[in-house]
Amino acid sequence: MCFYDVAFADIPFELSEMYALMGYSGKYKPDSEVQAIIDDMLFVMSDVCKPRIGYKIVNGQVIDKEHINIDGGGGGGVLLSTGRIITYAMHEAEKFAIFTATAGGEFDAWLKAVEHEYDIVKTYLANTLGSVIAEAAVSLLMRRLEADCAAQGLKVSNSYSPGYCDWLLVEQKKLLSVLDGENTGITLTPSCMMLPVKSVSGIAGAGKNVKKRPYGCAICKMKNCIRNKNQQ
Amino acid sequence: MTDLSLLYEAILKGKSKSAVEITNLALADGAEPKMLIDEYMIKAMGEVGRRFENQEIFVPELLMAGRAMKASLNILQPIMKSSGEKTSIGKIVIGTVKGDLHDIGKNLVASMLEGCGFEVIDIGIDMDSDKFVESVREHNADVLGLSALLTTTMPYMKTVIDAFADAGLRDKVKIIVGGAPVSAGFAAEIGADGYSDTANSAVTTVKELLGIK
Repeated sequence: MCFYDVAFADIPFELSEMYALMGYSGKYKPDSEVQAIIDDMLFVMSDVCKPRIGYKIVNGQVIDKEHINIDGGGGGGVLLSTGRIITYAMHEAEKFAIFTATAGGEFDAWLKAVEHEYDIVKTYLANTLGSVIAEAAVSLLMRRLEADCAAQGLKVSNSYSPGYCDWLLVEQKKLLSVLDGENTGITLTPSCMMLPVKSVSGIAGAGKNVKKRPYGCAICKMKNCIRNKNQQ
Repeated sequence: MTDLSLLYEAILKGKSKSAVEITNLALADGAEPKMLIDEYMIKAMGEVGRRFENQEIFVPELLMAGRAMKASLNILQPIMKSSGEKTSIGKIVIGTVKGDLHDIGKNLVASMLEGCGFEVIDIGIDMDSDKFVESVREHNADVLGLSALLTTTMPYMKTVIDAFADAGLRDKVKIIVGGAPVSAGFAAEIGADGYSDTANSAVTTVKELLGIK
């Protein structure tokens, strides 16, 4: 268990992911001016982006079809209302990794500076870049978690975050309470917004018989999920 | 004489510098600001909107076009104002609701609305219902835009709408809502007048609500 900074070059950032997030696919590519702005931004990322990642592995168990109880430290348990999809994805788990990943405070400061240029195109691109960086940081974290668990003979499920798959965003408070005292670099506002803004928290299950199941967007009933909304 | 089709092209392609240059040249040639807006710039934005809806262009190109439009409007509107002409097609107060510090979606919508000729009063983030009521009253706004990016803050949109009813202003202002977790169903449920899921559709929705063609 530890939380640490990584270099921008270490995260598996893919420009194609950024294009995809903006809607480009197939034959469509961004305008040359847009590409030039993105190139300029990427050029400074090694200086202004210090992602911070980490996880804490805790004991726990799936207690019914919609809940997981994890060790919150100090002998107490934390009951997570993860919903059917996530709970099923982890029903073979013996341990649970509670994680955070953030593009970092330095990136946030850079983002604010870009926003103060009052150029809406740059602002949008910088925000999109931050979202892709945060997801790439999660990918790096999961690779390292999988390697650590493999050394113990454990397999790891996909990762899930509050706000998705019927898991309410307010549950983020419980997750971060488990990481209380860790230097995650993240704070939570009363409305469950993470600061720095380009941050992700979540859970992954680990165990000898854990399987990596596909994400269940097709069966999720969460009306206000960004990944699900367009299918309604 | 300036080839005004170049103004249309500059807006369409999102080239702010060219749009400004051509606008200045056209004015030097004696072109009427309103004619430039109505005959070239609004038509260009209409084509931008069509391409966006057809997924031929995407958000960055949409924003570039809005930015170019705004750059030209910044030249034309003061001239129109000084001659007593109407410079905006509607007034909109926009903000992110209490508890939510996200502003990118709100800023995109504000930018596109400004680019399409609306006067936008952006009151910022983390705004309570009193501030929304006060701002709409102060500016005599036609439309209020509410933004939220969190499932924990979107219910506050109903609090704001209820505050307008309590203040006796609900029938004086159209209220639209948007943001990642917000849906058309949620908008209807809380009594909003409109919902949009993109900056482009926000412009269309506002125009429909105000009866602007």
